[in-house]
Amino acid sequence: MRTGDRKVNEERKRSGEVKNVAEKEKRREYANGLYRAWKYGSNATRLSFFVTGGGQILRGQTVKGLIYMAGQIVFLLFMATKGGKYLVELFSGKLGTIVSGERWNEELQIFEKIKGDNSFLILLYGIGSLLVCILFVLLWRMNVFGSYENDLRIKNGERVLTIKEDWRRLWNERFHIPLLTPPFLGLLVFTALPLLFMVLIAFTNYDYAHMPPGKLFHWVGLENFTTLFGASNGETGFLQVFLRVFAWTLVWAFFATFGNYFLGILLALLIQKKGIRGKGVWRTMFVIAIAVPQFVTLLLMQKILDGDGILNKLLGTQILWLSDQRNFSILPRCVILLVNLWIGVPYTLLMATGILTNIPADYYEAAKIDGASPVQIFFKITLPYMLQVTTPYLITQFVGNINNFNVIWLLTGGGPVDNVYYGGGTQAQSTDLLVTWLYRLTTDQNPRYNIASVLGILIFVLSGAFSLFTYRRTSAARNEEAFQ
Amino acid sequence: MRKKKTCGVFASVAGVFILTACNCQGVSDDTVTLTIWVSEADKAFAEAVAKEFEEKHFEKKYRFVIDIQGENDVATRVLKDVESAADVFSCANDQLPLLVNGDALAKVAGERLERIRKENTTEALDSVTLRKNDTDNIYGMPYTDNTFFLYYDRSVFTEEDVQSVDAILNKCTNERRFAFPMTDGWYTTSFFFGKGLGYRVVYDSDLAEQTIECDFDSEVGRKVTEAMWSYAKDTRVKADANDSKITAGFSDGSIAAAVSGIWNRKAIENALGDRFAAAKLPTYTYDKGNTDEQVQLVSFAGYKLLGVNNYSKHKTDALDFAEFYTDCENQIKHFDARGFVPTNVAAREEERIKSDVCATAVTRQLAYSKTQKDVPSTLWLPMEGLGTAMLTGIQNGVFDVKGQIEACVRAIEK
Repeated sequence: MRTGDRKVNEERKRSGEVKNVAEKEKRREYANGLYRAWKYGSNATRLSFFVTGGGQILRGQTVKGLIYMAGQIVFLLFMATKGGKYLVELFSGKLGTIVSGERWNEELQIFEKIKGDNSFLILLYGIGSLLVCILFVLLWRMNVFGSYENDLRIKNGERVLTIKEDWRRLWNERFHIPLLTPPFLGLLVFTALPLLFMVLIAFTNYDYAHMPPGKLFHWVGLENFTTLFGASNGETGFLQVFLRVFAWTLVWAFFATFGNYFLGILLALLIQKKGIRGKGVWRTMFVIAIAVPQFVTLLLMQKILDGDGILNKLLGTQILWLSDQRNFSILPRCVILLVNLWIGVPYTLLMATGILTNIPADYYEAAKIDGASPVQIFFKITLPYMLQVTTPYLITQFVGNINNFNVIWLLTGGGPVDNVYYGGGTQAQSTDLLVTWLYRLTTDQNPRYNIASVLGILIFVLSGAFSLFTYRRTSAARNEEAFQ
Repeated sequence: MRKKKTCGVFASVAGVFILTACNCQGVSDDTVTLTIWVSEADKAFAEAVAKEFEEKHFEKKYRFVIDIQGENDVATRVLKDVESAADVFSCANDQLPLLVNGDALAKVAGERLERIRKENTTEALDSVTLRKNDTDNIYGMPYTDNTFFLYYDRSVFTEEDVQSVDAILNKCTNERRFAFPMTDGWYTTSFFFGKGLGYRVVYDSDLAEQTIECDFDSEVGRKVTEAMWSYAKDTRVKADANDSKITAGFSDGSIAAAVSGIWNRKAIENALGDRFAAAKLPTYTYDKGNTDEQVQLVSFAGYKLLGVNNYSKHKTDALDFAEFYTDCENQIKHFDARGFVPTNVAAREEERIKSDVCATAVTRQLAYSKTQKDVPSTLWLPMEGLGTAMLTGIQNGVFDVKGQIEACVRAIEK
């Protein structure tokens, strides 16, 4: 590292510290904010603790106050009619109590349905109501702080802002509020709500025996986690099968990521080598593979590798490329990795070609003058440069491969089925990744959404922890300027 | 500047709503929309029936949406979201416990029940009867027997030959094989049923599976597995057969006999022409080298039925349609279209059905069949595993009979 960089870094660190101190002070102030507003605020502010907008109306900010008040009325009405009921049901331990029934209709000669509770909707609306409560608390806080601000203004001899001034302020210093409120609400409804919903299913008994609307499901605490990790009966209990699937997921992700990576770089280097003719043609030929949609390639490969497929016909063999169970299904596993190379290498080739042409030629010249061998040059110049630039890409690739659904599902469907190592009602199969197993758990004859949700949480924790850990350790994150 | 900011807010609002797809479909008038799920091959037939139904009930406005849904995993699709599933769906009767457990099927009752009872065979009725909360109810309208039997090339085999697997194999060569789908539990269980083996499922009052027992791993079961393995590894047997491979094999002459169901009839008949023939399943040799006992393959006797969604918004119309679809006249039409053997007693008496070669084979096979009822939902995957292990074993001639059948049963039982 050059001295200049070090200086820059130190400066940056120092300014970071200063910022941290300022932020901490700000946070302390905020924590005391409500308390302070109560203690030092006027009676108007205290009123707005109970009636939102009350403080503002007393100070003459009628429109603003009415808007706040309307917010509270809507919230209270919602809670009284719908939200409160859902919240009670959400926290009562049972998600609904009335099972649906039926009534005979003599005229139509049918049994009519009498609607009961729907645990699924209760859970969903319960979470929704919870989010509405959170939103209301935010609104309420804003209202209290607004009122306290008025107090401070009056104390300083300033005028309380009119609605026009407030409006203008909203479009200038406080522009972040109108700009970011819609995306924030969107995130809440379309991301936070479903995510929370899915996570909470892991703590219920929502499976094939408890399917709404005909049946109710309820909270079971950590039961699903103990099913997956608890003591199990013998060779094919959930824990053993989970560990096998998990191990294969990691092995797959490792080989799929680094196999593609190194082969792609080697291929790019090979094509870039002086003396190779028709570079453009070679590159185009490999890149054409990208133009064919991935799932088409995969389905084609599956046909080629079938027992009666072209490959066996050509070789005159009967090899079960995708369903041989011997030795932990080693053959299908290797074949899947090879097919994945076929699909993945062109991408790395394309990327590596771009990066390789960026390496300054004088590095290579200097190395050659010093008498470095091609292998040395590769490991001392090319690879470090590539790694520096592409580590974030490698991390996303690795995490992507942990969740690489297409390749496995379209080639083997997770199979072959192996009763000896994967039986026991776990519904897992030999080449299943955690994510394909999860998918089968939700779409099979006996869906088990609760166990699938536990798996989903595990996959999330796994990929999240891995990405954060490795990303923070990469040189790309630590010193961004090092290779400029 | 102001403009820019307004644009910014608009963009952020738009960004949120771009993420949501709108599914606004407004059918406001008194049209009754019925969604029907049938298998791909039945779509044309269902459309014709729907049209007739509309003509018959001209006083009401109907709109039919006919979608394709495989009959073997209807339950999974329906139960995923009962309220938005089809109003009427075709399914195999082994799906019934799952569907009833999920409260997805409307009971057939009252006058409708009396009509259905009067018109169909007792076996078919029995297959759609389930006991829930200590009462027997009928949960669907059966329309065809669904079992499998033997298709063969008349120029290769005599009627004598097709009595036993060994006689069939004697006339087979490596280029002209006998196809048996060894990786599909629907077919392979016939070896076990032949020796009287089976399973027992205990349901709770809601028809959820409580315990499952299976005796395929007994001493007898092990010998049955041995017999299966001896056929699977025989080079004259195409053990990795499935529907598409069987029809392709009959076309190119690589398969001369195959075990399959009625739905492949048209394709095989087209391929064989005059040489087309069908018979009940053959016998197989049990305990080879010792007793050489000939055991009849006992098939699953399933039934296909139309179920009506318990949560349908137009239950009366849905039930009416299901009844119309499965009445005597339409069962005969269904036979003409697909070769489906009727469950309607009157339709079975029709001359052209009585004399049909496949219908005869089905009727004969039904004498050696086990009604596909109270089947463990865990049966299929482990049986596929057993077959896959055999196919793998062919590679090097090694198959651990005891280990595999025990693992298989362990995976079935609960």
